[in-house]
Amino acid sequence: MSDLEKKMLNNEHHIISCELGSEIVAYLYGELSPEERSLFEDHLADCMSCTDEFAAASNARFSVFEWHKEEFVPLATPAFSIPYEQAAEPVRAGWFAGLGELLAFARSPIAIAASLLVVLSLGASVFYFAPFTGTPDKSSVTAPDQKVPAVAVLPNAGESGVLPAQAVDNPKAQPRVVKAIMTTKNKVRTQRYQNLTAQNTPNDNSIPVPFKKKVKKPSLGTYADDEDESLRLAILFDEIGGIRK
Amino acid sequence: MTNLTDEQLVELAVRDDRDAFGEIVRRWERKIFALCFGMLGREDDARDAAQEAFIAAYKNLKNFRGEARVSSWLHRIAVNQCLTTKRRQKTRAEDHLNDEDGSEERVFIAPLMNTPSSRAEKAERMNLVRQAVGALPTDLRQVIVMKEFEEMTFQEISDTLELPLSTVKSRLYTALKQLRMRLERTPVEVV
Repeated sequence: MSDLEKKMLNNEHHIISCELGSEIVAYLYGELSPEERSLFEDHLADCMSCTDEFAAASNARFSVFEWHKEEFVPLATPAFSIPYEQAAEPVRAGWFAGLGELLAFARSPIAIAASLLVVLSLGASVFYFAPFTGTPDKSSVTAPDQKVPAVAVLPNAGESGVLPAQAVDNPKAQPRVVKAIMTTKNKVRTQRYQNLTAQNTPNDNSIPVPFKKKVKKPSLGTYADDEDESLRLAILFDEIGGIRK
Repeated sequence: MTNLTDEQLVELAVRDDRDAFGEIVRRWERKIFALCFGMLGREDDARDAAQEAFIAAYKNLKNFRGEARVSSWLHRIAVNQCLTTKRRQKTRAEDHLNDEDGSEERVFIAPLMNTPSSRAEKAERMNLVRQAVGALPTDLRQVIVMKEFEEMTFQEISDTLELPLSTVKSRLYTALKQLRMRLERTPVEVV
């Protein structure tokens, strides 16, 4: 059963005004299907309120139709001339349009060749300046149990903390040295943390300590301190104490 | 005669007062013609149907019992006349092997009356319609213009304005209702 039929059934006795306003305009403009049109016409012949509504809508529509026919239809279609020369001037439409222009330029062979050259140059320079990833020089690495003064970031620096001329002159050597020292520092911190943990646990080796799996507890914005061993406050104070000494 | 109500005119017309019935016709000719145009979609068919409707009304004056308004009575007669016309057209089209495509095509032909007074009246009416359409809220005017001037379907309007189909229909219905009220508020003075 179509919506129209349902509406018609609901308004069968026409106690109240029909709710077929939308169907009236659909009928008025010939946009009902043949079946719906036939149903609506049968209804129209019986329903006084719909007939009056339809007559009123037809009247208003005819006024507009007549106005359109009398005043608009006889109007000659104006001839539009487009000033192409003026319209050809580039219009700055913002950064997005500029990006589009740049991308359009990037499609030219010269731009592609230039881009390739730049990429190759970058690749070569990255390969040449890549930091050393092998085993660090043992002479420059502090032993794990040796206390590392925080100021003496570079072992090659003198007492004043200034880098020797050799290190300054040879910048390629700096990344390797720094990395090696940072690795050593982390090892020292880890060792200290393990020592501290061992002190706090009961000294009964006969009882096997079960492996405690770290479970990330849900927290609302609080940072779980035990997740990052390198940020233990006690170790930090130790280090500061070491520096002061 | 012009001061009398429709019901009083009918009473007079029943007593064979042709001037009274002439006044009824003058009052309602445009509205009945508009109704027929709304149903038939063609000006010439609408004119014929309206003519037939008034003849039928004159013949059935004695059957008017005053239970409904004269306007409703005339509307009903016009609707029935249009349905008869449609049925006749359908039968004719089938008999003549669809010599017409049967579509409700609008045909523009010369107006029935082209006297100076009718032209002045029409000009005044056009002015009123222009003002009434211009005074509609934008959302209502939009659908009227799309439907009448651009001859878009409800679905096309719905797609264009990104509105549900039912909203488009109800907006058009409201627009026509408001137009009617504005036009009735300022009746055209016959010159």
